Amino acid sequence: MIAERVSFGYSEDLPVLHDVSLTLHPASLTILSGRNGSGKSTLLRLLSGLLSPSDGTIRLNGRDIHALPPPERARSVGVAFQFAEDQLTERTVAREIALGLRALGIPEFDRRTSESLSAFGMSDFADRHPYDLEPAQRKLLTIACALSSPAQWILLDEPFAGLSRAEINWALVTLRAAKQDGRSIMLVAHDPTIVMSEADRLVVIHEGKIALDRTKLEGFSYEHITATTAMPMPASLRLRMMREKELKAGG
Amino acid sequence: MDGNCAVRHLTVRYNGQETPALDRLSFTLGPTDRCAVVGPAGAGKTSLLHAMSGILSGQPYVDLQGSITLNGEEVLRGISGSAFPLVALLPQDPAVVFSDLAPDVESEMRLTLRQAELPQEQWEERLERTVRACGIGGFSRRHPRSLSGGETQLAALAILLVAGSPVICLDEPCSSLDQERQVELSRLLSATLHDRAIIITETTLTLPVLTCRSIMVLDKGRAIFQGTREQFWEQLSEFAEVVDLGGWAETRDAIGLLSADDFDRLVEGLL
Repeated sequence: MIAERVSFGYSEDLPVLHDVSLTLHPASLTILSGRNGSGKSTLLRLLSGLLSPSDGTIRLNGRDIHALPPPERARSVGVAFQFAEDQLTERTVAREIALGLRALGIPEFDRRTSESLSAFGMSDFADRHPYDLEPAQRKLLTIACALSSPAQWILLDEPFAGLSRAEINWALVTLRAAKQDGRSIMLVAHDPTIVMSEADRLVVIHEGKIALDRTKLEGFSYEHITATTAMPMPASLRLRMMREKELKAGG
Repeated sequence: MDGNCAVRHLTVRYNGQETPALDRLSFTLGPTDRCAVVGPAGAGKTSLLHAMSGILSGQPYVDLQGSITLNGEEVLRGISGSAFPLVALLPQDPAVVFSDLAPDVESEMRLTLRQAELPQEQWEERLERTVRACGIGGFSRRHPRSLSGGETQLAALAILLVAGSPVICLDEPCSSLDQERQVELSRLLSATLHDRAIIITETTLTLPVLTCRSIMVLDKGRAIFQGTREQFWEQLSEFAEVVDLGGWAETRDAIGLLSADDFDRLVEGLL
């Protein structure tokens, strides 16, 4: 998946991305980070073909994503939005997972659906209405929907927001398996440290441009991110540094 | 001494389920108290805020036991539908706050002012003050649905706060806020909303949680800890299984063991 010199704005006086180029490789997990309003979700929507760039192109296996017929695009790219309520439409959890598979004419969609349910620990909820689930379970359901599709490219917008550490670990097991299957995952996280140990690459957007694109992440910390981009440091770290400074000043 | 809000033996049970979502929870909240409720998904945090804001009262799918009194009024039986503007609730999905009837965030705020039946001559001054306090000046004239996740959270907060409710319930307000905006929210809580009763829930430990001097840990509908922030810091490691401590576990020895006043002073420096 290649984004080539992509620019986009929701209106003329509201530019969001400027001249962004990015290549996603198979069998990898990429974190897309940046401050609120930096354009993370917009880039994700562009890559999925839901938005069209005002300039530049998005190519999927060599073809312009907008030239692909919608079923082919849906077969190639799986998306989970930031707010689960933006995408859940079915009466039961099982139907929600089966929806995309059935629409794409995937054989054995029943078997695939039960496999997905079990991978996410949701077999007991199969017949429940998605809106009767806890918000965190609803969020996991959207990840399950994206991963149950045959898509090679998986784009997840803040998949871990509102999830506990245990649930994040659960989701990471399935993402790791997807990566081993050769799929490429890009996830948006305003706090990249949550998944840094699992990731192959970190991309940070600032003011509509790529401010950092790095693959060597071992030992790479928030201090490094702050030093190279305008990403603010976590409050816990800043307070600790302030306290250390106070102690030093006090003798 | 009773505060603005008193919750007594509150039990919430949905659709006749055997396990209650909340099990005999009791606490009081004074008119300027700020309390954080932390715990994993399914702990009962949202049920507590929904019960306090009156939206569970009289609903056929839920059985409510115990009582919640707000300024002497019983919420569970006395108020039907919603306790707004007495209580303002920022829901977990903040976009629910948008009516979709207004072309921009400021117009949404005017709808709130109308709903809260505030005299029209106060509208503009309140609106300006709230826009400034919430730091949404950069996008308050934009369509609510055109905002990013973090901007949506702050816009929804401004739409609620403009009514001037004395009790404010924030359900996981930090889930879409980056570090800088979490600091801004903490500043808003300490500077502008210091005269309100605030209850804030999170699954993860965040700065706004730690600006609260009173903390409760919920798990499976029960309060497994209720105490001061100092007591919470002392027992921090015990909560690691139910609360995501983020980067705060490593910070405990450096700042968590400060006195309440010293801690607040340090945080003040950050805000």
